[in-house]
Amino acid sequence: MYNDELQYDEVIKTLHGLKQVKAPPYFEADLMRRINSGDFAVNKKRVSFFSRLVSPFRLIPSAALSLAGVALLMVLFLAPENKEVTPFAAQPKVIKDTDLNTGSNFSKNKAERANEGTANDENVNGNSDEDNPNLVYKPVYLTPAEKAKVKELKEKVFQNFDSQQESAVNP
Amino acid sequence: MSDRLLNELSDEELIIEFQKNNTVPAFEILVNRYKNPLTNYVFRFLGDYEACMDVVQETMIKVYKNKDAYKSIARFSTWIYTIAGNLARTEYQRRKRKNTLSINNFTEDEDVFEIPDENYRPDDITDSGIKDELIQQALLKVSDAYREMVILRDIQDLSYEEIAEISGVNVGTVKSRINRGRAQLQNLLKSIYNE
Repeated sequence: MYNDELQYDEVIKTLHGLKQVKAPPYFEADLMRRINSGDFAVNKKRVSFFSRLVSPFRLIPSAALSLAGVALLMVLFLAPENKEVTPFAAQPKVIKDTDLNTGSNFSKNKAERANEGTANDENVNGNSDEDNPNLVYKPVYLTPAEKAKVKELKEKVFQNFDSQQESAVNP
Repeated sequence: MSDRLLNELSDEELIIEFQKNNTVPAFEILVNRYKNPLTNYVFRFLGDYEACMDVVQETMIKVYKNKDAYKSIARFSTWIYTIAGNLARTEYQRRKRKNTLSINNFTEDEDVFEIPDENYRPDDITDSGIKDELIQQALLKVSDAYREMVILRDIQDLSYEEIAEISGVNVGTVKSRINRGRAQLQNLLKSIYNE
C-alpha cells in the first residue's frame, strides 16, 4: 500500500465497504433485443438550437409573421398622401369677396376695388389671375402707327356695336 | 467455437474473436463480464440508476458497433472503461445543466451550491442503509475529475497505470487527483467517522 493510501486508509475502507451496484437481470436480453432491432439510440439525437430555429415548423410561421409585419408597415407609412376625394362629398369653397346675389363686386371698377384692397380679379375658385401660374403676361410695345391703327379699330368696333344696339331697339 | 471454450478466453481474445468472425456469443460473454463493474462505476459517478443503465447500455452498443476500433495493443478493460467514462461524463454534464441551479454568479466564494438531483432514488440501490446513502451523497459532492479517479481506484480497484490510460493523464496527475479527492471525501465524511 502506498503512503498516500495509508493516510486516507479510513476513506479507502469506507469506499471498499460500499455495496456493489449490479445491472438488472434483464440487462443482456434488453441489450441484445435493441442490437438485433437496430435500435441503437439510447439517448435520442439532440437537435441543436440552430437546427430547431431553422426547422420548417418554426421557420414558416416566423416568415409569415414577418411578411405580415412588413405589409402592415407598408400600408401605414407608404400610403399615397393625396387621398381620392369624391367630388359630391367635398365641401364647396366659399368665395367671400363676391356677392353672388347682386354681383356688386363685379360691377365695381378696378379703382374702387383697389381702394377696398381687392383690386386683383378673382376667378371662380377665389384665386386672382396674378396668382395663376398658367397665365403669362408679356409687355407689348407699340409704335405710334400701330397705336393709331388700334385706336381706329376700337372706334370701328364701338360704331359697329352702337349700330347693332340701335337695330335691336328699332328693328 | 463452443461457449465453454469462449468462456476460457481472455477479454482481449474475445474481442478479437468478435472482430474477426463476428462471433456474437463472444460479445455476450464480454457484456456479462463487464455489465456489473461498469454499472457500479457509472452509478457511483452519476448517482442515478436509470441514467447509469442508459450509459452502460450505450457503452455496450458502442463496443458492438465499433468493435473494429479496438486495437490489440491496449487492454480491453481500459478501452471499455474509457468509453463508459466518456459517456458518463457527458451524461453528468447534461444532467448538471438540466437539474442544477448554480448561484455562482451571485457569490465570490468558490463554493458551489447545488440543488440535488431529484431523480436520485437511494431506496432502489442502497439496501445496506442510510450510511451507504450518505457516502454516495458525499461522493457526488467531490469534484468531477477527482471523483472519477477515486471511484476507479478505491471502488473498482484499478491500478494507477490503468486509470492514467483511461483518463488520458500521467500517473503523477492521477495520484495527485486521487489524493485530493480522498481529502475532500474525508472532510465530507467526518460525521460518519465520528459515529
